[in-house]
Amino acid sequence: MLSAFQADAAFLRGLGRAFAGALIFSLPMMMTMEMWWLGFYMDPLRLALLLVLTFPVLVGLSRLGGMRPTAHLRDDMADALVVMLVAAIAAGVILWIFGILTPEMAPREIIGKVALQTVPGSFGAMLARSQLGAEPEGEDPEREAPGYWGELFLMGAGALFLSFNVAPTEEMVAIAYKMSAWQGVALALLSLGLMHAFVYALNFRGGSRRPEAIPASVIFLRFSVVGYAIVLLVSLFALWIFSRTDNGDLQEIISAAIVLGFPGAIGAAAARLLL
Amino acid sequence: MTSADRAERDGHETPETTSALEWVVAGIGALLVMFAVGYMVHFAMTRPEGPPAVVLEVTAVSRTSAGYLVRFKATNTGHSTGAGIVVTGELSRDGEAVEESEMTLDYLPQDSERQGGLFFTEDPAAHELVLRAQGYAEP
Repeated sequence: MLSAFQADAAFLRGLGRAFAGALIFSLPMMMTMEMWWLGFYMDPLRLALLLVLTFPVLVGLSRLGGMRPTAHLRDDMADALVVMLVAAIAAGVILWIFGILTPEMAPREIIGKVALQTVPGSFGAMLARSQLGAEPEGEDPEREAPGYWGELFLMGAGALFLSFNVAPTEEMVAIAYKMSAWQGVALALLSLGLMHAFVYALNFRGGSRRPEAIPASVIFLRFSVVGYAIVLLVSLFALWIFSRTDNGDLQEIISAAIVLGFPGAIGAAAARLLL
Repeated sequence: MTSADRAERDGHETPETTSALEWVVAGIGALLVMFAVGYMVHFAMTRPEGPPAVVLEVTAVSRTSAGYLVRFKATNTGHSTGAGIVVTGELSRDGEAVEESEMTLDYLPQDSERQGGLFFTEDPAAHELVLRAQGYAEP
């Protein structure tokens, strides 16, 4: 059992790491114009929903990785709230320094801009432990490997994080316009193939070992195909949150989801390597 | 498996408990998130849907090396963001247009203000000056 002082000191170190993580992962988005604009023109209800959904995803990430080993769900919830606060402060300070937040702006604009940046920032802050921890016992071989549902959750969170980085930009829709239907199919197959290759076939450091007894085709169906389906759903969700699906027809929406699913698939595969 | 079981089984890992300090910070975080969510929901519920409405107000007229500069403040009192708002200023004397200038505001969020300026070669003080928002695009 740690003393109160040691616990506080550990918490403050964790806060520092969380700030670093929030900056590393959300600076590209703080420097993206579309993210500022979405902060004021996106549907306020969708922004509220996004904030509400961010919380359970952060709790899940904390459960499976997070800032520190936790015993109880309530500790994960505390961590999730802490990283959201850290991300909001980081976003507020950086956007103010950039001159993106000024006093003559309406509260709706200021709150919207900061709230939107809080989402990627809090993901980054939560990932900071696994990325910046560098504690000797950080490897903790004892840690229980996530089960099947945990793996799927991680893939979804990784897809959400990477697709969030590109979903706000005009380029997603522009690329979808430029691709022919066959190129769309090719991109979907490439995403699926890369996802499978990344983690399962290549067996990277930290990647899941392919259990010898299970045939590759079963793994492909259970993880890669299901994982890619999750990636596409996450892409659709991100497009919907940013109102990118509102005016398009079905074919347009599907191509945009496939385009967004490409970085999403890489993110999903990488999440299992990083976390 | 309950978390208590898990804690017992992983006992040698000494999972840290949440310190009082962290609970305070977490509580602030909870208040902040609830405030942001509540604000957005309240905003969505209380604001009617509608087009932007642009109010233009001249804030300063000054001489520049190439002529005159009319600076203005644009406020959106409507119910949605306007994008690409074209603002024109016309100088006229005795009902006859003398000079016109035009600029575009990238975005004007509702309730927010943006500053801009229009250049003229004639002196605005010696003419009648009318600022007008010509149109906008939905973002």
